[in-house]
Amino acid sequence: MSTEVQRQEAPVRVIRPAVDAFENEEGLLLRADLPGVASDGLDIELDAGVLTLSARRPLPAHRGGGVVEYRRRFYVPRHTDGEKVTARLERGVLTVELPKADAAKPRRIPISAA
Amino acid sequence: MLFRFDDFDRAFEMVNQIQRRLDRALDSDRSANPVGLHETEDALFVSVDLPGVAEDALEITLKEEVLTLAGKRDVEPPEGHRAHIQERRPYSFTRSFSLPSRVDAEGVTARFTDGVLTVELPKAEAAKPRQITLSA
Repeated sequence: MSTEVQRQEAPVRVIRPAVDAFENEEGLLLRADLPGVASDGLDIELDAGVLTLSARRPLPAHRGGGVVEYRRRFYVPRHTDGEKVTARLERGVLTVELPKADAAKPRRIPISAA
Repeated sequence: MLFRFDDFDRAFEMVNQIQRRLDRALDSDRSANPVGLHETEDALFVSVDLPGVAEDALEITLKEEVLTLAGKRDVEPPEGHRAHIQERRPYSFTRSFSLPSRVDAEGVTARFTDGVLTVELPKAEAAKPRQITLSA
C-alpha cells in the first residue's frame, strides 16, 4: 500500500497595501508600504494607463514560512510619460514617480509685444 | 432554576463584553504594526513591520526580561504636492513584552531589513529542551 503525498505550494495571502498618492505640476508620486519586500520581489507594470504593483514577501521560517503578496492597481493619467517612470524601494516603502509628458505640463505663455 | 441560568448568562455576557472591549482596544493598537512573537527550540523571535522608519528612529531595549521596541515615522506629503490618496499613517510605536522564557541577554541581536524589525533572543541553555536519557 502506498501513501500519496500531495505537494502543496507555499500558501499565499494577498494584501492590499496602504498607499499615498500625490500630485504636482511635474506629475504623480505614489508611495506604498511594502514591509518585507526586497527589490527582486517587486514587479511594477504600466500598461494602457493602468499601473500594477505586485510584490512578494517571503515569510521567514520562524514565522511559519509561506508568502504574502501585496497587490494594487491604479489608473494613471493618460498624459503620464511611461518612459520616465522611476521607482525605488527603501526600508519597506516603495516610491514611484510618474512624470507628466512635457506637453501636459502647464506652460507660461509669453505675451508678444504689440 | 431559570433565574440561575439568567444570572449565569448575564455573567457570561459580561465576560464576553469585556473580551470584546479588550479585543477592540488591542486591535486598534495592532492594526498598523502587528507584532509577531515566535518561538523555536533555540530562540524567540519578535518581529514587527515598521516600513518607512529611519534606523535612528528605532529603539530596542531589554531590561529585566522586558523587551521594549519603539519606532516612529512621519508621512508628510512632499512639498508643493496635493494628496489624492492618503492611507499610510504616521505612527509612534512602542510595545513592551515580558519574555516568556529565559533568554541569553548577551546574545540578543536585532536587524532591520526592508522595513521589518526582527529581534532574535537566544534561549539560555537552561531554557532549551533537553533529551533526558533513561538510566538503565
